[in-house]
Amino acid sequence: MKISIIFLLVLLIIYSSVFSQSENTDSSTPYHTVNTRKLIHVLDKVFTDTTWSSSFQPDSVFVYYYNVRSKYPESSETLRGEASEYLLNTGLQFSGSGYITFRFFIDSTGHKLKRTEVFQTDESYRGYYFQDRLVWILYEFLNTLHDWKPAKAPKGYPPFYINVMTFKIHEGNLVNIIP
Amino acid sequence: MKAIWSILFLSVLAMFESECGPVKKFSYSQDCENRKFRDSLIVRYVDSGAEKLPYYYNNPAWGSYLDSVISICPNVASAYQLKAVPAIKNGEYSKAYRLDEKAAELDSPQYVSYLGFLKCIFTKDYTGAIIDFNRAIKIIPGGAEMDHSFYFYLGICYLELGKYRDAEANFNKDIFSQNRGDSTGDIHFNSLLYMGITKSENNELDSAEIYLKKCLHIYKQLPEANYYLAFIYKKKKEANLEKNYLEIAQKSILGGYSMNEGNLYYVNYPRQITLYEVNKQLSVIEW
Repeated sequence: MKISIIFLLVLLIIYSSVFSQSENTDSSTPYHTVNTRKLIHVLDKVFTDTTWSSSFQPDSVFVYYYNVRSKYPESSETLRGEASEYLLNTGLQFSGSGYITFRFFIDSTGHKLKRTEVFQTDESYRGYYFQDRLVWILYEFLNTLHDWKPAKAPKGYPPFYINVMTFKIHEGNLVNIIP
Repeated sequence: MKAIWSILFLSVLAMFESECGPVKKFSYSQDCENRKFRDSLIVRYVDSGAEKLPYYYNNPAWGSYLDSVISICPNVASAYQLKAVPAIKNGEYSKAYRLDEKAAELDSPQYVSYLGFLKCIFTKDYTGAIIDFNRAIKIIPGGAEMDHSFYFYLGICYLELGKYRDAEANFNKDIFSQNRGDSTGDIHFNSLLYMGITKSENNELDSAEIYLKKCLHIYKQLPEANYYLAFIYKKKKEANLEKNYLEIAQKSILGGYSMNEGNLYYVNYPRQITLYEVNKQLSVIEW
């Protein structure tokens, strides 16, 4: 009897651990489960994901969206409207004012890579942390954007460029998008 | 024998030093107050150093060159501003503004309006930008930043805050600063564009139409002027004209025309549009 209880407990632990791992790694997770995910802190940097598979190291990429004229092909106002709707559909309310910035790589097929760095400041540009859930929802919105310009690079150079998108938040509401 | 040679060498060195005088020691209080000395640091570490780097300010060594200047003379405002350049463009606002605020503190006439510009155009902090530009006007009345008067940016800030009367008052001052009241004088097309948008937001459609047409008289391909003029015709239920101006906007964007502002690569100016918005409007014209 004792052995079977232990066996059941072990099974339960394994099951719950596998379940939580799948939530942590799937970037297409719908917004209602994102609150279980954690941002990854590496020294003084914060990431949503540190997955990297290219032979070129991320810190060897110096080409930014403005070097290759690759802002997202919608106006800031259109993006703000879309992101606000996305946020509204969660039915959640948030607090805090400032900026949440995602910095990420776009590859030669126009896909956003998983490794994304996160910066957060308050309205006075001092370090600040919004509710993790808000960060994840905005990140999920970012993952719905698919019209990035593909990267072009000469042979021997990293086939990526770095793009940046910032969400300006005022009292929990999205008020602007940069660029 | 070795000891003799050492003594001989030290004696020669001592003689040489006494001939040439002692090596001049660096003095912060004297040299860093000297404009020429500060400029020489910029020439040495920026013009001949940082700016020669591959990838320019995105090279990881960029900051080290500016740190060299700052470590010698912590009062060189431009070193802080230059160090902040990659940070503001790459989304590290905490770092960028810490440095740019230091530059503005050290050299207000040069950098307070720049700080306002960054807040207005880059981080859409319109309330903060208004404070900075009002300060800049007190320091340099009639001053300009990035090819526009301070009033131009104040106009944009008030427009984006929905304070259309204040926006209009500032765009009027901006226009006056260019033509000095001479209605035939040249005015920047973007001054006319934003004035037109302000009038349109305030539901003064006829006046908005006049400003946007004046704007197009100077720069007929400007996509935003065509787009917002089309929007006025939409409000006036003149679908033919709406379609006509949207098609010009579409053709202009495809032809590479834009607002022609220096920082467009980095950031969208307020009310700036893309082909996406034009195509979307074209698809929903109500006949």
